[in-house]
Formats: sequence, C-alpha cells, structure tokens
Amino acid sequence: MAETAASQQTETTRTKTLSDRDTAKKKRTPAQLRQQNMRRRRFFRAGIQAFFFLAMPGAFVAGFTGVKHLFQWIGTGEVLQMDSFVCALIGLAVFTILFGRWFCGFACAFGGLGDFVYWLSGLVQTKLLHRKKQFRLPEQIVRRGQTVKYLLLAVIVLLCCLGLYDKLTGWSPWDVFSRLTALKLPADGYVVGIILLLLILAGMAVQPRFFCQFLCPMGAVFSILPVLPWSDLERGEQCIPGYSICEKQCPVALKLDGAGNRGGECIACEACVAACPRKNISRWDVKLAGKYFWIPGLIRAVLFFALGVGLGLCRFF
Amino acid sequence: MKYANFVLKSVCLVLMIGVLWQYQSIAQARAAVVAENEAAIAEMEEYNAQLLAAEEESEEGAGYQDGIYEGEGTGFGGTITVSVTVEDGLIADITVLSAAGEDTAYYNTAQSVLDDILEAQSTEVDTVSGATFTSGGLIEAVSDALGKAVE
Repeated sequence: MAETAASQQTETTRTKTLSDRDTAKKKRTPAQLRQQNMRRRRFFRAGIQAFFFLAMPGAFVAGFTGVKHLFQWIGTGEVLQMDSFVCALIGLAVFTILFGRWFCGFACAFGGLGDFVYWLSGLVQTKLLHRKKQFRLPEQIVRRGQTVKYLLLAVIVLLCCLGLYDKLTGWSPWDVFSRLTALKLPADGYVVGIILLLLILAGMAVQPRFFCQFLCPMGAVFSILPVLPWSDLERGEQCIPGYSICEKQCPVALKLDGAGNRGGECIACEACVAACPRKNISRWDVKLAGKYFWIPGLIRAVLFFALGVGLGLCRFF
Repeated sequence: MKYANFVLKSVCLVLMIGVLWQYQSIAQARAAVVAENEAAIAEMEEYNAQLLAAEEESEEGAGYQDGIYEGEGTGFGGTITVSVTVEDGLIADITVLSAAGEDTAYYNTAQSVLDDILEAQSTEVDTVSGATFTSGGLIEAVSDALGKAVE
C-alpha cells in the first residue's frame, strides 16, 4: 500500500516536472527558439573548426601545394606524379564536389582563424567600443573583391609555370602561419610573409571570411569545381516579402535574387538555415535530420577526418 | 534550367582533366626517350669510370672513416636524428632515427633528399621544393653525422 503511494507520488512529481519543462518551453517565442538554434549551430561549428585547427592545420596548404607542383612540372615539361600534395589536392577536390565547400566552412584552419578573428573583433567593437553593430564592408565591395582571388590564382599558376615561384620564398603568409601552428617562429627572410599575414589578420577583423572570399587561391580552385546539385543549400519558394535575414547572416554575401550559388562562393556554413523563420533554406540531409542539425555535420566531419588521416594531413597520426 | 551551372562547371572540369591527361601522355613519351638517352650515356660513363678506376686503383674514396654515425638537424617542427653508415669510405646507408615533429605529407616528400645524398655522395644537394624545412633538416642531420666521420 505504502509502496503504491510512493510510486504514485513519484509519478505526480514526474508529470509535474514534465509540465514545468513544457511551460518553460512554451515561454520561448519562435524568435527565441530560432536564436537558440542559431547559437547552438555556431557552437557546433566552432567546435568542429577548433578540432580541425588542432588536428589538420596544414590541410589547405597541402592542397594548394599540389596545385603549385602540377604547374611547376608543366613549366619544366616533367611527367606529372601523384605525390602527397597532389593526392591531398585530389582528396580535397573530390570532397568538395561531393559535399560542397564544407571543408572551407568547417575544416579549414585558415577559415577558422578568420571566423575567430572576426568574432573577436565583434566582441571588441560591441563590448569595449560600445558600437551597436559590428562593422563589415559594403556588399558591393565584397562582391567585387571576390573576383580578386581568381586573379591571384592565375598569377601564382603563371609564376609556377615560368619557374619563378621558388624565387618568392618568404612571401607566403601561409608559410608563416603553418610555421606558427607548429609552435615555431617564422624562419629568417619571411618579412614579407609576416607583413602580409598581419594585413590579412587586420582584414579578417573587418569582414567575415576576408581572406577566403577575396584572396584564397585554394578557394578559387574550389569555386570553379562543380558541386553535386543535391549537396548545395537551396532556397525554397515561400520567402517572406522584403525579409532578408539569410542575406545578412551570409559571410560571403550571396545574393537573394535567385542566381543563388552560381559563383561557387557558398562555404556551406549553414548560417542562413537557422536564421530563416520559415526554414526556407535547406538540403535533403538537413531536412532529414530535422532538429538534430548536428548529425549531417558530424558525419561530414568524421568522413573528412578519415580522408585527412588517409592523406597524411593529420598532426596526431 | 536548374542544373545548368553544375553541367557547365562539370564540362570545364572534364576539359581541364582532359588537357592534363593529354599533357601527361606527351610528357611520358618524352620522358621515355630521355630515359633511353640517359641509359646510353650512363653506359658510356660506366665504361669511362672503369677505365679511370683501373688507373687510380690505389686512391681512396670520399675520405670518410668506416662506421655508423649519428647526427642531428632542425626540421620543421623539431629535431631530426639520422644514422649514417659508411662503408669503404662511401655513404652506404642513411636511416632516420626520429623525426617526430614533421608532418607526414611533408616528411614523405622530403625523404627523396636522402636518395639524392646517396647518389651524389655529398650533402651538397638541393632541398625538396614544398618540403624545404623538413628536407633541410635531413641534410643538416646527415652533414652533422658525416662531420664525425671525417677524422
């Protein structure tokens, strides 16, 4: 008798706590829920970026070294080989074709650095300087600037072909960066590289993904790759007229005019997915995962980690 | 059309791969001819070397004391330790004892410098482009070891 009473009591307390939680949930407005979802996604992405920053800080450099090697061989008329760097390039390219520029958005160490610097700059601007809004470059300039990286890629490829690239040792800000990730000071003669890296860091503070969209030659390579149509985020038909929060969230200033991701700028960061009140931007696996938004991301992370280990890009193995 | 962009970029990619493929077949044909010529030259040089060796029978090799020597160098992310085996006054073998601080992809590329050293019987070889620090560290380590081999 006493037992059943006790169990009844626990039953009631359980229902009570359940209903409490329900009301707590109900108190949140849809806008608050959206904010919460956006925050969770940001944390998730930052976590993945931090992991890959520690595990594979050299992945993007290795991939681009593959591009340079190919054109250096072509410049000297040598037979092309499958060295570690060309393999890294092919691996990154195939991953991008299959999953979009997920590597750029989640796994690239330099992209992660850019996001971190922009976040830090936002913190300084709002908390210390008491600005209401974080500064970012006007859209017009951003879209113009996005073409610069193709020019840079063309120049580097040309220099490699002419065999002049090796003369520019000490210019590459990436070399300085990868030196720092190995906890070493840059070697002598890297003055130009250090200055360029500092300028890039300054740029990262005034525009999200400053380097990635304006200067990254590897980003230019990824932009011209075809992404499988079902791996691109797509905007549905039910937009709220005059509403453009997705556009404001987008770090690479994609247009809302329907042209979508024609230029290949989308880095699959999914900032727009959470921001849209109508869940209008989606992808098949995002729809499938529903509120477990982290599942597709985690699967990609595991796949990319396996790929990276296979290509010898991981610091730990 | 919905997939126009994808199709366009795919065509571009296929074209690029096609051009590389074409280049590769031409380069391979050329490399085959070059290898043939080099084999002929090597044969001649070997013959010359035999004649020279017969002349200088009594002379010494590279001037290293036989033995196994260890040396250290600074690579990309730390110290590289190698062991160099000298036989008959020549560098016979180089083994890397530790290179814990090097990234695998760079390390694999840099290793070709060891073959260069063996072939040249000297550490006066170029670093490997793309893996400058790691290969530089290997060269430094071998030099250090050979320094102990010269008495």
